[in-house]
Amino acid sequence: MFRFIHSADWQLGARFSQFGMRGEKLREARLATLKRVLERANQLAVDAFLVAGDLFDDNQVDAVLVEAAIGLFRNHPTLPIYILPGNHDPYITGPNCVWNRRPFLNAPANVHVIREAGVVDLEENVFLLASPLHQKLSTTDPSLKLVELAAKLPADAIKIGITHGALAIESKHQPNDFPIALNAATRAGLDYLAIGHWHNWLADTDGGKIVMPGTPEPDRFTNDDSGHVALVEIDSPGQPARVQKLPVATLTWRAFTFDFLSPEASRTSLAASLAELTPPPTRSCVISRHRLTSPGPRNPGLALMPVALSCRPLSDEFALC
Amino acid sequence: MILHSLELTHVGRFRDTVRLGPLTPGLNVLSAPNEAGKSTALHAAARALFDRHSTRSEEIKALQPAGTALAPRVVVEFETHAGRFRLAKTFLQKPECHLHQQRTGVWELIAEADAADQRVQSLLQSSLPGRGATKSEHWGFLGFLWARQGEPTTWPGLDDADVGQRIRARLARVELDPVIEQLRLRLATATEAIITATGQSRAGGPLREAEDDLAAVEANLASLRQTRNELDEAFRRFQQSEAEVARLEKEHTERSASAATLREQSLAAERLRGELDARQQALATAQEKLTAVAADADALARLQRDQAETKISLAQARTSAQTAEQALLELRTRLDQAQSEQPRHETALQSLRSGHQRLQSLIKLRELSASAIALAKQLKKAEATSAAIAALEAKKTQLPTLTPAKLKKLEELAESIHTLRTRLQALGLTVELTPDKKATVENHTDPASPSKIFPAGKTARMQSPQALDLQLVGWGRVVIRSGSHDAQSVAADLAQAEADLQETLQQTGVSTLEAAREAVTARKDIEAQLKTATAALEPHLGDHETLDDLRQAVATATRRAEALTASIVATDVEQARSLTDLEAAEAAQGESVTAAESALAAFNKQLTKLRTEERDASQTAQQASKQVSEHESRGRTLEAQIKSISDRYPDGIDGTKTAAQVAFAQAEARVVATKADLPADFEKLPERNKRAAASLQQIVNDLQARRTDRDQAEATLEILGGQGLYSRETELEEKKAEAILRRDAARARGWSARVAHDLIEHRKQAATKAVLAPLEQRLTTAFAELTGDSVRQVFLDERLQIAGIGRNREEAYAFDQLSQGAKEQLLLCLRLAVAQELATEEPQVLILDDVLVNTDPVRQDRILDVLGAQAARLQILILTCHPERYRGIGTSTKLNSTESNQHHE
Repeated sequence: MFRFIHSADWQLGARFSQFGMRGEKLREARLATLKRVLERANQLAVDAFLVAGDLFDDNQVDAVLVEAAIGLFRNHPTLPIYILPGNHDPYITGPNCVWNRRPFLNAPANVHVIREAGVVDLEENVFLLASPLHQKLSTTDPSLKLVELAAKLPADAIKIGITHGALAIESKHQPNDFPIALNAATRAGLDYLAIGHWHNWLADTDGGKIVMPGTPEPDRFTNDDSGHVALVEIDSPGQPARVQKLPVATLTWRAFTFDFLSPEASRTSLAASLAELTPPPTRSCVISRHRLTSPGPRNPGLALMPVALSCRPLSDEFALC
Repeated sequence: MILHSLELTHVGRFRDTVRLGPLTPGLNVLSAPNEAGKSTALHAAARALFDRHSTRSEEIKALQPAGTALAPRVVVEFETHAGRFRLAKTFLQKPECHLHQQRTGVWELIAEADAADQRVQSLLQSSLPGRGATKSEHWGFLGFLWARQGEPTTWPGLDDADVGQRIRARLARVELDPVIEQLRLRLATATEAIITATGQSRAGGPLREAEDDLAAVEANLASLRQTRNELDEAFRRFQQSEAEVARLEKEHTERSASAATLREQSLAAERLRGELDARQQALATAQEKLTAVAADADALARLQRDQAETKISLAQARTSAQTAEQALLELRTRLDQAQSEQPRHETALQSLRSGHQRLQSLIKLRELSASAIALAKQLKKAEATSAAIAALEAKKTQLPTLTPAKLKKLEELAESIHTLRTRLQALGLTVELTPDKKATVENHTDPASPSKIFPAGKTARMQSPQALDLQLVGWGRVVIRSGSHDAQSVAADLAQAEADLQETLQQTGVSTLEAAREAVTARKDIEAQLKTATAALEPHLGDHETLDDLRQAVATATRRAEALTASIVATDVEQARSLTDLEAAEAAQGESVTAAESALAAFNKQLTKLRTEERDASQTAQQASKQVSEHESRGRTLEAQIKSISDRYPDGIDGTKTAAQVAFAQAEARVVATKADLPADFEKLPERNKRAAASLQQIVNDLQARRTDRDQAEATLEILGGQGLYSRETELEEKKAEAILRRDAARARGWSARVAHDLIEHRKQAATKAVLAPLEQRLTTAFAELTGDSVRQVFLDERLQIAGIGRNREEAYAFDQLSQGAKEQLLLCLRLAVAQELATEEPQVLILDDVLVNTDPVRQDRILDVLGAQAARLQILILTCHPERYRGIGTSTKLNSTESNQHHE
């Protein structure tokens, strides 16, 4: 049995302009989540830790952040980590690519950046077929390379694909967003295809062979199925993979509505909702959005004035936006 | 506040101490002439009450006596709701300030220096400017209750937050909830801290701070994005250069291999080319040799063929030469015979020609003689005709020179005379005589005229120019005269015409007109005869122009005939022959001559033909002989040439030629084999080599340049790539969002506070407007008391400024349009209203400094009535230079230089 963790879209160094100076807190949360997930992987003694693209939000992220990420990887020298460049951090030649920076060029032995398409021999009879991205946009299906790679491998091997792009679901993807065929895993004869790009969990494509775990750390209120990584187990070639959805997010994003026409009812409802927000063990913070509603008076400026004067960030742990 | 007394030292014109007061609580009249110092005293009191004692402003210095450095000192005794006070201030040099309060009849010092200033300011609810001296708007209520000299129509605004607002509130009796007022003040403070009155962000405020932060962040962002653009551009250049370097390296490798191959091909081709050149040289030698042998063989064959032909031609030429010699001999014999007969033919012809020529001469002689005779006859006739013409010419010469034109002119002149005479007669006398019986009348006037017989009973008419002298037979003489002037004039013209006619006739050479006419007729006849004679002369002259020519021709013909006769010397027989015989003989002889000439010509032609044949035969013989010689010579030459060629090939020329052909074929085969080994385009190989080398060098250069570009781009990327631009941009974007939030929040706070404040203010103004009517009514009543005009009303605006007066608000005259007197009176009413209102809390002084100067005496009395009534509640101090206007009212007071103070009721 081969067991690994499939993650994607960490977007380290992501921008949260709507939170102003508190964006740094959210970035720190992503590193904290990565640290926690690596520790969990170590506990689970997985055979590999996969990052299916977009570990970083951009190639031009801060050196401190790169060092921090490498530092986290270095803390688990026995955990093989395979990192695939995605569309946010594509592998490009030249020193302005994050993968060409010194920390990754001199990375610990357990850290493998897959810069070119190829096959990685994970262990006996288990192969990782990788198709990294080299640009930010493309209309080419990156999984097509996996078909070529798989053709050279024995049929009775466990073949795990990894690439990055949008699933080619009609009216849901952009044509230049690396569209991946919905039968990409079957087409290439893979047992499992680890992909990344969208930030919500999606694991029912191509008979469950294609899995998109979403971002481990939510980044917006509308991503209501994010904050997970996939724990995958493959017993033998041709056997369906067992995929477990592991919640790992540090922050919880919730939106509340307070209707001033019914203040009592709203207050009760809000109190109940807040009571539910007792952070789970893995989550230390809550990001909340409060929507205040009221029918517009004749002078909206006057009516909103007390609200405007009294609304302000509650604390470092809570923010209003 | 009311005033009790003033004491001034070193103020204005007062170098010593002067005192005003004590003043009564009611109406006080300070009357003094202009420039007496009334207003100066009051101004000095105001400076003491409201300015800091330490100020050194120009307004304080203006208090000093002119040209001195004396320190102005002012002592004011005044009273407020807090008690009675005495303020003593010394300005400029050693400034001092002491405030005393009267307690239990004793003055106690309660403050001095700045504390005293502040205490007085508190008591009088006045304010201080930021710098310099105070103005009326700083003087608290006194600023409204003091109508200053020269400014009687000036009314301070009521917009300031302290005194003006209080007065306005008191006048309009608007009372706001203190909490709301406090909220309004807080809102105003909050607004002012954020935005200015014009809506701009206030410097140092949170909005400006947020805007500045935002601008700084955006500037940093722009700079950062510029750097990112540079990074992207560097990366683009790097990628391009990298790809180009790879392509060029690949191309360099390919081109290098290609160039090496080409070089090897070129060397091999060069080697083959050398071998080919050698073989081609051998082939050329073999070809030359073969060509030479073949040429000799061909030449030998040709020579042998020519030799055979020459032998045949020589035999033929010899035969032809013999035949030509034979023919030449025959022709020469015949020619000799013909030439011997030629003189005989020529002599016979000459004889015939001589005979023919003599006959011709004889005929000519006959013709010349006949011609001379005919010409002589013609000359004779011509000479006769010429003599007749000469006679006619002479006769013509004798006639007067009178042409028909001139005759016509004479006739016109005569006609004119006749006309004049007729006119004269017409203008003269006409006498009609009708005798009873036949009568004879003699006209003595015209002696030429014969007597006339007049039949009986028939009227006869007689005319005369001027007079008529009649002799009536049987009756006597009758003379009738006329004195007509016209008749005289016509008579004069007639005389002139007659004179002209006579003169012309004389010039012409005739006596009368008739003679002139005859002369012209005679001339015409002679000219006709001359014409006839001349016409007759022309045939006689013949072809000769003149008679002399004809004479010359006759002489010439005669001379030629004589000469011919002398030369011919005709025989008698010849002379006896007629011309016809001679002409017949001449014709026959001419035909004989012609026949002889034809025969001689035919003979000569035959002779010429023989000569030509003889010459041709001679030439033919010569040519035949020459050909024989040529053939013989050519035969010898050919024989020598054949011998020369044969001598050079001792083995025989055919064998030699066969050997040369074999050698040529072998050499040619070797050349073909070498050419087959050479590449098809081996001649282009050197150029290709050169081109390949240049191309390779160009690629090397391009490669070097691209590598440089790539290295430069890579260096730029190394510098910029590790800077974490995205993270920095992220940080700045978040800062920007934060600044925008702060800016928007501050802006929202500022504007919401302003909106709330303006709403409260609007509410206050609305409330004020609601209570305007009672105040307007009070002012209208007071104004009616002053003016006696109860029809017009006084209208205020919501800021309690006088809007105007009139029957209604819409038709009211604006305050600015009113007369100066009306303005003074209206403001006096308003000041009275203000003073009355304020006096309910504490006593107030109303100072009127010479303000009613534009008021008529009637209104002056009414004003005095009003002031007298108000004096029970107010202290009124009137400063005037017209004491008569206020005589009898209030307390009169003066500025005294001593302690004594004069006053009376």
